[in-house]
Amino acid sequence: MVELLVVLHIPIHQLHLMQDFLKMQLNRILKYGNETQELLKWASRSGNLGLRVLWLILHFAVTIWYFLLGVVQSFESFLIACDILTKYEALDISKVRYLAMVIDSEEAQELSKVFELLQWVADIGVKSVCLYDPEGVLKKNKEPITQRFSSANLSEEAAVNGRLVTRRNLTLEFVSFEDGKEAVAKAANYLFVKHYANGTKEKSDFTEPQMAEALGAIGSGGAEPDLLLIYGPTRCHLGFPAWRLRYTEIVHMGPLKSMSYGSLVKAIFKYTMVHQNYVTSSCGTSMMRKIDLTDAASIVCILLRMFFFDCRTKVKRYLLACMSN
Amino acid sequence: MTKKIGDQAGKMFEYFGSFLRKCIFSVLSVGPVPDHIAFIMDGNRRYAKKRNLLDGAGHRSGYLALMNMLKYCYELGVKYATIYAFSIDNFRRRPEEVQSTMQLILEKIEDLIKEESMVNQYGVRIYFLGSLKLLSKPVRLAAERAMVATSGNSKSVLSICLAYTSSDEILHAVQECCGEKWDEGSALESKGAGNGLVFLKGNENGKIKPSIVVKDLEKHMYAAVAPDPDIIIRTSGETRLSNFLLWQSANCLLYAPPILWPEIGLWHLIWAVLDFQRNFSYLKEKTKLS
Repeated sequence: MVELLVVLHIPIHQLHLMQDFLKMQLNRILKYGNETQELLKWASRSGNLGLRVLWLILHFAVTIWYFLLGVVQSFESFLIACDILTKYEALDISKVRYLAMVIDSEEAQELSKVFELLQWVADIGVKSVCLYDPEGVLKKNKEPITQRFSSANLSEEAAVNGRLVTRRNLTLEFVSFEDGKEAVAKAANYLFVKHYANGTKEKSDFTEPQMAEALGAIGSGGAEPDLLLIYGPTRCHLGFPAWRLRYTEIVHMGPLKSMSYGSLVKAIFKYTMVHQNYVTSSCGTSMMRKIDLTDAASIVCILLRMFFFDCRTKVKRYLLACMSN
Repeated sequence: MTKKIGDQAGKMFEYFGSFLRKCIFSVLSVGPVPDHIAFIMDGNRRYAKKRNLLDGAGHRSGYLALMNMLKYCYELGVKYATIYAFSIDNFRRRPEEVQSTMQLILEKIEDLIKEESMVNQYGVRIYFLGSLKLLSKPVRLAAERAMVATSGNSKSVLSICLAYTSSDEILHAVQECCGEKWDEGSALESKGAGNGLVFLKGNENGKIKPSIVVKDLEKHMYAAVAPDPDIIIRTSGETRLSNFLLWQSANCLLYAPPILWPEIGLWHLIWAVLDFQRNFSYLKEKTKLS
């Protein structure tokens, strides 16, 4: 096995990435298997048999499409992680001032995955991250997460509201569903007391700065993220605080167990490129399309090169080495 | 003569299209059909630029695409549809552009009220959501007329967000709740109940008993006329919600096809519904938990 690695000149980290790639495809098959079961359960209800069969065929075709798309995207992430697609090295992380991540609560219980994700985010150079899951699983595990990523330094602000923890290079904020609608209700009570406490009904309407101040006062303030990455089965923000989601770009990354470094880099890179282009010429869509087409072309070129040149040469070398032994 | 043949051919094509749609929708209806779909109609100006059309022509094409999409939704059995027609942020555009958009909106509202329009064909009740006081008088009056004219319809609902942003909606709900609580408190005080102002002065511990809850806020939201959306479709590939239904979209599928709004068609709706059906059990579970 070691000889094979030496002769084929495959670095060990690439082998790990290949293993991750294969595991991801297996997870994908299991996920679509579960989805197919759900669809079969729905179709087994009463009704026209012909229509039910057609419906299942339609959904089966959609599942095949998503599976193939997923395989291509995983392969692309693998190439990005191996530094083969080098265009993503020009990532300008300063454009992402505040990154938010919505994680499905069930998946968030796998803390090792969360640690790995945060490590990737820190490696890319992001300074501030907001972690959200609806049931507050990440908030409950704030201690182990912050211990992993923080030094002994805690800011004064953290001592007051217990949510913000500052590490040397990664500030983490933990948010859950109660920081959304319920926080707005608490802020409404705060505003009621503040503006109606003198016993007279104020005539002027509340303003957005007053609302932001009220949310801050009850401990649910915070900046609006530039980019929100959703790690879950569905493209749905699961109740992220409405007040902080107004102009945030939302990207669905797939389930946490299928996460990959390459897809994270690509999502952040796309944001920085589209955002830059949006500011200059408001043609964000055409830029996104160009990125996708260029990526597709690069992948095809790499596959052709690998098939016609690299693989065949490396396999020949391996066979020669075996024969000489 | 040729015009008659052309008209007949057009009608036959329409019947065939309608029949094909019925077949596809009957297959789709085997699975769960969304109750409420919301649309962010983005890309009209870019469409006009792409096709070298005059200013405003993009919006007119967009209106035709909207009528088609609403027709498909109501045929499929989607009861509620919400559209983001004009945001409060859009008032910051060039005055002539705002003026021409308002003119188009006025024209289309009048079209909708007419007897033979799609609205009456599908029994659609229209609501206008937003800070209507920010609109000019003719548009505001036309909106009020449309709401009254369609108040007898009960098959489906169309919510048109005009001068709307989610943050303005939340602020309005908070304002209304505070006003309501004040009125309740004052009424109790005047009856001599003595505890009417307890939530102003606090109890003995000095702590204020919270009296505004999430349900009160939701009652006063502009979008309370419809249940929470099941799918939000934003065209032109943009992935932001741009201050649209942020409160209501907690467990809603977000779908962002990369086409411009006037290019949207039946296929995109079918794809969105298929996606919704694949994720239905997960979204239903999340809605129950929240």
